[in-house]
Amino acid sequence: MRKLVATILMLACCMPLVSQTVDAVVKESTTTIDCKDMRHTRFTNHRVYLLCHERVSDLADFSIACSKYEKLTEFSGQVLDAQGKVVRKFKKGDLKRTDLSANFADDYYTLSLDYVPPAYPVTIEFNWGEEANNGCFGFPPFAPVVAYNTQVDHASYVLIAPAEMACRYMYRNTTAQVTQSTLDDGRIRYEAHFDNLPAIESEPYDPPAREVVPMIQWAPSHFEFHGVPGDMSSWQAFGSWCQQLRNGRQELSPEFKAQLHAMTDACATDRDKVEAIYRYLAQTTRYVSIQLGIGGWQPFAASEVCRTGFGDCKGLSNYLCAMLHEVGVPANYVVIYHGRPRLYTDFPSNQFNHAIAQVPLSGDTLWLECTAAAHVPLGHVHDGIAGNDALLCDDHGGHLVKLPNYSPEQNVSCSVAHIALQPDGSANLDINMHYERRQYEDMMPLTAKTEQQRRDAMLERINVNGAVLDSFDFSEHKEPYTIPYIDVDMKVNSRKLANTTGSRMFVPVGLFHKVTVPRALQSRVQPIDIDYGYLDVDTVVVTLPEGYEIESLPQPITEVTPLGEVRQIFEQCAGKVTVVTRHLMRNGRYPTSDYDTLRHLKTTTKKAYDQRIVLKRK
Amino acid sequence: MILIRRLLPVCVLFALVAIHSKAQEPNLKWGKPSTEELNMTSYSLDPEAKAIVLYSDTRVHYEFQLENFKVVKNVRKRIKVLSEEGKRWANGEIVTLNLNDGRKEVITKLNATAYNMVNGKLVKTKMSSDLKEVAKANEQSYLTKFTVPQVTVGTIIEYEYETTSDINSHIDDWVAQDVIPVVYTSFQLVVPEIFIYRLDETGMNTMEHKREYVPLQYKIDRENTLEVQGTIETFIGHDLPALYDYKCLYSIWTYAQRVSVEITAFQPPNSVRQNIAMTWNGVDESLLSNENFGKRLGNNPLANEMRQAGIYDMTDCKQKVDAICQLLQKRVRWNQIHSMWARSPKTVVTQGTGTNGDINMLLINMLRDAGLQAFPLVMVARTHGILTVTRPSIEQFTTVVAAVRHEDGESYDVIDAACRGGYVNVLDKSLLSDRARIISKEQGEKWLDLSKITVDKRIQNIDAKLAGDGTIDAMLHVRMQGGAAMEFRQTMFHVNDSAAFAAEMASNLSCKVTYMQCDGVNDFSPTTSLKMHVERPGKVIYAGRIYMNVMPGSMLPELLFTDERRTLPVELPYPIDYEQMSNVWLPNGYDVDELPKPFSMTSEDGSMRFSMVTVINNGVMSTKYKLYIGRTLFMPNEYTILKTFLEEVKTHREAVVLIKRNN
Repeated sequence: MRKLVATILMLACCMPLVSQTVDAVVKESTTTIDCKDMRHTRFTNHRVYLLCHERVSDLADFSIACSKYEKLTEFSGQVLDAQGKVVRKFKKGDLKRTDLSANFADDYYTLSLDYVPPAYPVTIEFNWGEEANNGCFGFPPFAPVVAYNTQVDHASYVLIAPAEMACRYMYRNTTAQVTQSTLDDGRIRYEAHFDNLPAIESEPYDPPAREVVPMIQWAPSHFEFHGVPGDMSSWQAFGSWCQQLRNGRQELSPEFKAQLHAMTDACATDRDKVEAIYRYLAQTTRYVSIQLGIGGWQPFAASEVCRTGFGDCKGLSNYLCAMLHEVGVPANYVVIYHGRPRLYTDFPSNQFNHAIAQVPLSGDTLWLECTAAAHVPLGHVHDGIAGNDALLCDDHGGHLVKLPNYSPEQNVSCSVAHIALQPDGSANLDINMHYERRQYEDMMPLTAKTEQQRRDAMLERINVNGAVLDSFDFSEHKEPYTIPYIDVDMKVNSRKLANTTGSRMFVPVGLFHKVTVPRALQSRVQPIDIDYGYLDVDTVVVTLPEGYEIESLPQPITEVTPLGEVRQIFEQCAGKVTVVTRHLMRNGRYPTSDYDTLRHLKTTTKKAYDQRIVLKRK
Repeated sequence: MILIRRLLPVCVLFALVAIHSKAQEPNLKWGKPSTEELNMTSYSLDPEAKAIVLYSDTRVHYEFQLENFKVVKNVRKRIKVLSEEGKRWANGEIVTLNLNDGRKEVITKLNATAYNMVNGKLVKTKMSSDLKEVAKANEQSYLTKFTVPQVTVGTIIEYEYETTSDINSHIDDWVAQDVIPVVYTSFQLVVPEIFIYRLDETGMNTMEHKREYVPLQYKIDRENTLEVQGTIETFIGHDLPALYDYKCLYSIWTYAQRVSVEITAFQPPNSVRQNIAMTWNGVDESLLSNENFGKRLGNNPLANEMRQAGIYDMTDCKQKVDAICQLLQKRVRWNQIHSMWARSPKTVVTQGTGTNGDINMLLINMLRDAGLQAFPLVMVARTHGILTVTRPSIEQFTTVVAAVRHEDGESYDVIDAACRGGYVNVLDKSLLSDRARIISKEQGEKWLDLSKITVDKRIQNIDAKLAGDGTIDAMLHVRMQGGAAMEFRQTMFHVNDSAAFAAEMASNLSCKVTYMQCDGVNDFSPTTSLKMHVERPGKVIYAGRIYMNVMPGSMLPELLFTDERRTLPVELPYPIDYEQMSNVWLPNGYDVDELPKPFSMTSEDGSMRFSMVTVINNGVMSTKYKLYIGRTLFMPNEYTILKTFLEEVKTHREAVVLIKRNN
């Protein structure tokens, strides 16, 4: 029975020429970008994908966003079966158009093709051309590794641009070189190739794919976008351009200015003024995504946001800055990438998808999320932007800044359960759960739910069999400039908290958390990326039922590693057992060699949460 | 226009009818929010409602315009925003049809106003025209989005719109409930007698219904007026509760209070009646004569390949069915789209992909060509609601599979060849409809109940050897049938690295997997199996004492409900049939101190059964575990029974024993 046999699975096979972990091969990827001048650009693309498995069936789809200024000029495609026979052809008329998007309004429509290959392996080929005639704000990166487990046979990228655009490029994870030449018409031709790039395998806790794939990024130094010339040769210059788009858009009506002053003139400090204005923003506006104007880059005028009571991130941030400026509090417009901590700081270019406001109060700079002012407490930097690089835009141009982040110890949850156990295994539990900062954010969605939904959610969250709520109190605390937290107090009856077998009772001690252990790897390739640091401290106090005594207490646990730690102690006193479990995870980037340490830490933590106290009838 | 499927009159099904006292008298004056409404901060019947519909009025009538009758719909809504989350009701959407034949529905009016109390004064803010956006949603519909300005907590939003539709044989369902409470809602339908119609009211609440007969006039041209009798149907609902979503519920809209209207015939004055809707037999005939349905039957482009595979020579029906399904699945892959309709079988085979309609109609052709009695079996998928049996119509159906009649002439096998990983009578959970209809020219019973046709069946054997240090060395073998086999196959289709899958299993079981074998993953067969050899440390070990679960290495899924109560039914994916036999060889010199008592329970109606027995014999601890749940639909009043039953199962499943060294 005990044979160490190599794992056998009957899986769909791939092409014999590729290894088993390769799902797709980019046989050919060519991109040619021809900028005739600052305004007119033509893109020509050719892709040939060999798809070995339906896991990468998305590569058989085609989708492109178009607008009045960005058009698809040509499109064709074909599908070849495993023998190389053409089984399907596509033309431009096969693309479906939809104007629908998640935005309330934008300038774009989508042309798409949803194709399901009949069998694998299959080769998909697409050729298409695009034209943009209202300026070029940036160029697509040369990154032909389009997915994990995808190898690249050959890829090329050609960019032809006027010399005055002064295009730049930046290498990531590659030793490839860009060649550069001057054409007869004076334009510069840049060219790069990738050949035989191996597939990158997805691993647990791996860094974002864009950080590990070979890539060359491109950006113009000088550009014109929707008629507005700009310079992104430096962050300072790019910030100036962003700031320029706000010019004349911060005006407020005299009546409204008077209203703002009436609201804030009595405030003793700038902090109080910010509080009043932020509260006003929360009460009177809502987020509506409107991506119109200069490619969605120009904020709506503050007066317009004031009139309608809504706006997108740019409009609301600009509005807040205008209001604060009016009441004498300096505030800055900041562009940032929501959900992406690091910018390529050495490569000034458009790397942003969001806008916020910054208020440089002395000794206490505030970073204000304006799209959810009613939800995000004043002073709290939420997870999507905390610790992120960003570009602050003011009259002096752009300035790279980094937002503060919270330490793992600050993202804390403290849970306490007092368990009065009965001889039949039933129990009354008095539970308090307390969540701060990022853990508070994790719980925030419940604030929007009904009481019944919150009760149900918390019952699902705790590991208590047959739980019935006796009482329930859920409270959110988010006073300005304080640490936001959520408290949950529950009195719970459990019909069967502890399992009983004969004269024994098995009492679980891990009521609050579940841990997943990442799978073992034969060889880890990538560094370990832990993007969320947190601390969980759980205390469980078990009052022994009448007539029972402790037969076995689990051994205490202590494991301390650079990635985190877990400690569990058991204390007996006067018919009670107290179990304290402390689990800390430190966010960060760790070397590949730490993977076993991570697994061991997770395994030990799981073990701690799975422990049981064994009681026996006297 | 809200496109939602018709429903069985669920009011008949439900014993529970929500009874509410009226919270407040509704204000029926349009454009004049009352002081009470303006000052309202919460709704007494649902104090946590994020927003409420104070007033909703939908009126549908016919008008004669441009030589034809058109359906004109007026909708008015007044909504109170009671919280930050409630602000999202300031954004609205209206879907309008634009059919390929040129008939369309247009929005002829759209207005909205926000009412706010500012410093004790009522301030009205109207929506300007730039706050409306129209987008083409697909080939047959447009989506108009609008957003109301100056909406904050406390705001009252009023919006009204009017649509005019050329499609005079279609009237949208009127859905009275929403995901927020509705204080007052009314629906008025005025139909001239030249349109013959049928009404269905469904849902779990009570509504007032009034019918009046009135004379109606329609100006046909400058000189002529058509005078006919008409009917006014009025429905009024008070204090309808919000619909909340739960797990194991395919769609909350299945159970929403609604009125469905079907135009069944057109009877012009002094002219012949034109039937639009019909009997179920009429539905059959209509489908069979449809270009994209019945007319697709008969052509088998894979005949040559069937011949080459020797299918025509097979004598066993089951063998034929298996061979045909395998051949078809090799040639055509499902594009993940459910559809009733089919393209030409030749096109489908040439392109190699298709909807489930394309694939199953092709399957039927192949089965018939091989001499089997195969028929289209149409149904509404569970994700789209429940069939209204009292209203025969084609548009109720959303999808089609194949039914193969047995030689007894009465029973059937059901196949969905679009579903990879499925088998004969193994359908995706969304297709386990309690009413599916066989489409054929034949007379007789044509309804099939598929709700129990596919069972999630698992049989696990555990043979474990326990060492004195607590280590467990076990061979786990799970045989899966029905829904379990299908879902396992579908999981395995997406596994790209077998070692990674084994490692994942090892992590889940907190053990080391030293051997793994899957059988039947790529077969067209009723079963799959997973065999693993694992090693894992004992849970709790002290000197001479080992605490362990009586069934170490169980891989049976755990079903559990924690919600305190439900207002909507539980819809389980499949009936459940689990068996597990665990044998643990104890180390020499050890014995079990106390065994769990044998346990069994059966629900009152016998649809749920559970038993578990642990015995010890010659140093082997054996546990037999059986769980059977024979139903997939549990009404809200049965929820507690189901929840408690499953909690009891969990308790026994987690039974722990002490294994200790003999003195």
